[in-house]
Amino acid sequence: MMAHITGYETLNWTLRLLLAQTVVLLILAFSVINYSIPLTGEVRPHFLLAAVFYWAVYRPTLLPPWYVFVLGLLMDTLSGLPLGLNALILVAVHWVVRMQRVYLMGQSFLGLWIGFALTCFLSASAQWSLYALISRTLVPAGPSLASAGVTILLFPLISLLLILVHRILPVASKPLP
Amino acid sequence: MKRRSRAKVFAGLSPFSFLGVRSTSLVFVTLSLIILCLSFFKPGTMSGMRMTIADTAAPVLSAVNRPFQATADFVGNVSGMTEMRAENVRLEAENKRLREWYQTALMLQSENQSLQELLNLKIDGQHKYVSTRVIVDAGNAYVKSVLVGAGSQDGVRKGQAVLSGEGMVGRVIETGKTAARVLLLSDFSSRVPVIVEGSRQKAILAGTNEIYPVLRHLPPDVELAEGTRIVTSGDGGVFPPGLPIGKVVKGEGGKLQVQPFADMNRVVYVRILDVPQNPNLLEGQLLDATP
Repeated sequence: MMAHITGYETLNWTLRLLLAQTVVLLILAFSVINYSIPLTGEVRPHFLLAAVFYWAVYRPTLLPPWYVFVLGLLMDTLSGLPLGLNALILVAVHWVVRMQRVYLMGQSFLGLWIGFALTCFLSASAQWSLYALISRTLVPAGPSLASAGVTILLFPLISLLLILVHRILPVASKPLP
Repeated sequence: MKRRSRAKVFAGLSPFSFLGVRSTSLVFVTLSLIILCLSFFKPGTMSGMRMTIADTAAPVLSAVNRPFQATADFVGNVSGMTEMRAENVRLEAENKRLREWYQTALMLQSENQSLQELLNLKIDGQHKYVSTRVIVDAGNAYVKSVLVGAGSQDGVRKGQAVLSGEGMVGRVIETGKTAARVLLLSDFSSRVPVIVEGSRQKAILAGTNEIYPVLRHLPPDVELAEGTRIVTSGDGGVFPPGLPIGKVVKGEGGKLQVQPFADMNRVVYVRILDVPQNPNLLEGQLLDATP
């Protein structure tokens, strides 16, 4: 028997989903703003990559590929990078992780962390190589790898935030009674 | 309990669900690659869109930024408190010394003025400044640039020099209405005509994406002592002459590098120099001149 969906349930469902999306946008903002803290100049954690990874494993419908693409383009635009550099990496990471999500979901947090470390390191290398290939300039690789390292170290922190958001997310992709 | 079907869970937000997940990903990977190539080989095409997005996002990012700046200021104040006594003694000594310099400067100014009048010299106009905050500094390995919170409606134009309190940090490369992008001196594509202070030796200051830019096109026989000041030469007419940039330091293998007076990685407030526009450098003509 189909239960009736009330207005309250729809509102509740919408608000929870909006909260999750706001957190994603905030994470994007935190990936680009000026912190005015020493040593945050060129070694910046790629928070958005962590968020894309987490949701690709646990709730792929929250960030569909087109949306990851838009987030990547936004990040490129705001950080002054050639358009598409982050978009390409994020969509590719989303794609690969999504294919492996059943395996990753079965892992402990440590397993997930190792999975993320691998993803982060590979995507930083891929991004650096892609940039070198297209621009034909070899920029120092140190900062890229250091950023990847910092992102990996901060992954537990960011996933803690995302786990909290995950708890209040609606269970279904449509309002359920 | 009825198990939700897989297809229903995946449907969600996506307007591209008819394509299936793999094809959608493939489509967007390809699209990103095309845009990436386009932005490398035709860099100007998406500049307008970039700045529109930056304009829209600027107020939000500025708001997110504010607590960090407040915290940094607060920490600075607290940690500064303990050193206040020593600081005070140092400042008093410095003040005494500066007073003497002030008298010397006054004397030189009047002397300079009378000499200029004597020679009937055409002097550059006074500079005006637009002061603003850095709102986006997405420090990355590829491009060294920041977004600042002033744009064309504040009189910011492409090509203007940008200074922090200590010295030059870069130039404006894109302007929106309320935001502008500044290319830092350390960026790979940054080139600034400079002069070695105290000599007439000219050079080009070139960014390398590392912390310190290097001096290029110096004659091989030129010996520069560490600590020599480097200022803009004003050649080419883009920047006014005499803007402080940094001092010479020797890098690995005796490479001549310039340590900027401004700390590039922690620029918070900047001044954008409003120089009267040189008619020879108007946009259209500049574009025509470059291949």
